[in-house]
Amino acid sequence: MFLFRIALRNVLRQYGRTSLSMISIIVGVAIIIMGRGFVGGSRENIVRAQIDSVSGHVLAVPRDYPTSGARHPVDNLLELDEATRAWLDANTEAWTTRTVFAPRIVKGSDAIRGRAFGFDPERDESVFPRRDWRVTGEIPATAEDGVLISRGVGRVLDVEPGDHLFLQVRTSDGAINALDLPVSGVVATGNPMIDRIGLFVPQPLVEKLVVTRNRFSHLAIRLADRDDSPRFAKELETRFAGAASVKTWREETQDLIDLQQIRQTAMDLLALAIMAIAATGIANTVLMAAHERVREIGTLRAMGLDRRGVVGLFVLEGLVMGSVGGLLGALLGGGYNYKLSVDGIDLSSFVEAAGSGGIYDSIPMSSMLYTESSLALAAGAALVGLLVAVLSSVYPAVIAARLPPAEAMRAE
Amino acid sequence: MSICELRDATKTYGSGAAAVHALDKVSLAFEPGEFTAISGPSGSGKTTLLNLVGLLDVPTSGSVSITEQAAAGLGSRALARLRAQNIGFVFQSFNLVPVLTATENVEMALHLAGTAGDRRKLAEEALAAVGLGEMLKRKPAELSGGQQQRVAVARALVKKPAVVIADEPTANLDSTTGGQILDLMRQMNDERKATFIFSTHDPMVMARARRVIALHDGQVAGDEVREPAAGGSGGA
Repeated sequence: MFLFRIALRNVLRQYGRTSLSMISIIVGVAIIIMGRGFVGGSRENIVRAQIDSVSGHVLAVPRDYPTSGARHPVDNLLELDEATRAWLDANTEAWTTRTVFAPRIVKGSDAIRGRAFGFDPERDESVFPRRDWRVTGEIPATAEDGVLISRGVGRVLDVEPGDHLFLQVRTSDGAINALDLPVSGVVATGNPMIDRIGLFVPQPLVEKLVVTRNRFSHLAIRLADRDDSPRFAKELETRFAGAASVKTWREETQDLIDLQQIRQTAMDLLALAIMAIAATGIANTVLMAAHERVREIGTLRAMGLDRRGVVGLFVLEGLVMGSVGGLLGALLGGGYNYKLSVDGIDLSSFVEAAGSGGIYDSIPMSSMLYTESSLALAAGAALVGLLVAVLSSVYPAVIAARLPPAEAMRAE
Repeated sequence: MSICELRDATKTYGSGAAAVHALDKVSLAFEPGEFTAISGPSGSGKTTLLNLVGLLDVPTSGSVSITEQAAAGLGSRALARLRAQNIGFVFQSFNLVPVLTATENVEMALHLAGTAGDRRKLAEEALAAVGLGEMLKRKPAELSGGQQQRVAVARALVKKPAVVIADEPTANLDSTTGGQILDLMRQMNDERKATFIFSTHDPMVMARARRVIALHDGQVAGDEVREPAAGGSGGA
């Protein structure tokens, strides 16, 4: 207790130097929290966007269906028998079918290649919630209602609700088909993968356009517990008897999660570099303190403080700096991270800046990113700061303790 | 019974042709209650002798014992414990811990000695005994040199050590204050029978010693007992 009192006052004695060392701990701890919060939040954002707008918890597509790129073939579609429908009703929270195809969207002399989501007007929302959707106009429910285009398509082709578009497609039989369709509404889903070139076509209209004959390219399922996905996927694959490839949301996002892991590592390396600077600062602070107080150390040794006590004294000084720095870093970083986990970060401007054809076209994500925040994260980061401070003060402490008392007493 | 004894104690710095014998086969014994001045010119070996007696250093050859306990072969931890319990120090430059108050500086000695009981109260009583009862909460920077040295004397005596080592305790004080500190030490020697061994080359200080040991070139050049030790018989 006595040594702690001395350590505490010594830390306060060198206010400026101590403050600089503590600032580096505070920054390091805050960066660990913010970095981990951001990367963790991005991972969850991607997973949530994937589940909520692309795959659900389990997704079945025709075997050999392309896993990436803009190709969405419709020549090999799936169908559901009554028994499977009943089984799905009994074993899922919700399920829906979609037919994804790539129409040529034409307005006057302008045309773009789009990504159309043929959806079941009655079932789709139960699997793919529309809480982040901002719709101008109406969501179509029948073939006569026309199509719901994304904000990107509307902007590029200068189309508004009530206007008409031509959709040119290949049918499931390989024939070319085209229809003049009204635009019922414009949607911003928050997912740039959809918002750039996507459009939603109600199933009855898909039937007319693509001639699917009650078949579909995607079967998406929502479960009560997403962790049940692997077991459910295996069972569903058996039911399709090799006709479908069934994947869980985790398999669908694995590449993206791996990419996030790289980001996580980069963030950790940055935090490590900052903590190394903090460690150097603290080691320097303690070493300077030891040099300045050689005679004081000699006096304490003369009075009976042993080497372990001297080491303890200086390590306690590191402990004080690490505790205060770690705590402040956790409060600042954790507090701001918590705010971002509640308020979110609006990424729309970044997505806009990336432009069409950018990385966001192929990554499912919500334009609002909510960071991952937890007490364990803040406490863990504070502990890292504390450990760095304590460990970096051990070396100078040992140096100070090695000095023979008689020699220390001679110091000026 | 000697409270502290050196036998053929030699301290050599360096080796070969560059070797310097700071102390050369010195044998001395100190009795309880002595008030002994170690005198001699600079470089005569006064501080080296005090470092050996105070267990701050170990002899190159020969032996040192305190309260009949030989220091030879003891590790640094055991030596630290011996110092903490048996030896009080008063330094030329006072050497108080600057971040602690006068009371805390004295209390620290009790803490290191492992003294049980109300250490705060004992520290305050020790400070009152040296005339600093009104300055308990002052830090060293808020005290004069003489007051700081009084705190150092209180710190050295509070744990009731077998011996108090003082290395030129008045050297950094003006003659009046130095005289007062010496009077205080002598008073503690008379009243508490505390054993003092101090170095000096100040004739005024030597004049108040009960025993004066003269060193020259690391050897004992004279050993004069002027008065018997407080509460006991004379010196060696």
